[in-house]
Amino acid sequence: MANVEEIEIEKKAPAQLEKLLEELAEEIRNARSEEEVKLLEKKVDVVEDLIEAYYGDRDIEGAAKLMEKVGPMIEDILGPLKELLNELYSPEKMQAMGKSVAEFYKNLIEAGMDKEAATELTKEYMQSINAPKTLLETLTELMKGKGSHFGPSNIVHGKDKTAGVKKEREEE
Amino acid sequence: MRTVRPFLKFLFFHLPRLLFQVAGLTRIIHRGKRAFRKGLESEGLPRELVEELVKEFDPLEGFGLREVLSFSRGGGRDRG
Repeated sequence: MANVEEIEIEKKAPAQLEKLLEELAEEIRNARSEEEVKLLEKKVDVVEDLIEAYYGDRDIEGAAKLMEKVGPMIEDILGPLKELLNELYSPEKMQAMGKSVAEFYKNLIEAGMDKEAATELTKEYMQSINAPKTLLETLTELMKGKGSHFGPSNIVHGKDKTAGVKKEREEE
Repeated sequence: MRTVRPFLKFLFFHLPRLLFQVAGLTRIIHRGKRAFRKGLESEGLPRELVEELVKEFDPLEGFGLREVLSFSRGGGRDRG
């Protein structure tokens, strides 16, 4: 019962204050002396403060409502993200990926390449098959506002698109 | 009290749940990283190379919270 009364008062309060403000403005127009005007202006300031305080409370209420929604919303995002990561980073897949990277490196060494070049090429190979990392990097870049990093970083733009393939063929 | 309750609920109910879920995500990534390391080691690669490749593989490398959250402050200036 008390809550209902409180809500009704909260609904009426700003309307009453605005009405009072209008009345004060009218009184200022009809004021006869400067002292009366000053007094009325002080009253206006007080009423304005009260209105501002009321709307400030409303902002806090809005923030509270937002808080109620933000928590479940983030949970809704994190749930599927967890499933996605679980799928992408499953230990079996990662172990297979580790083995394929190791085999790639071994093949390069067996073909006679020096270790540094082989390591660099292996890193590039890893970047091309490590899709989740590329995804995270792209997201980070987007959040930073750069947005220039789309697609795997080993894609060569411009005239030399086939240079990498040619090199590999020559090495073979 | 009406306005305080959602904040408290977020602080003591949603926030711990969210942090727990984020910890779960990190756990998944670390588990994948360990499996990747295991795969490399099983093929007999030298330890130094394994460390280097694992570091390269790590998706959380350079993915700092500070870096992500500083987008509004530093993003505009970086464009030049």
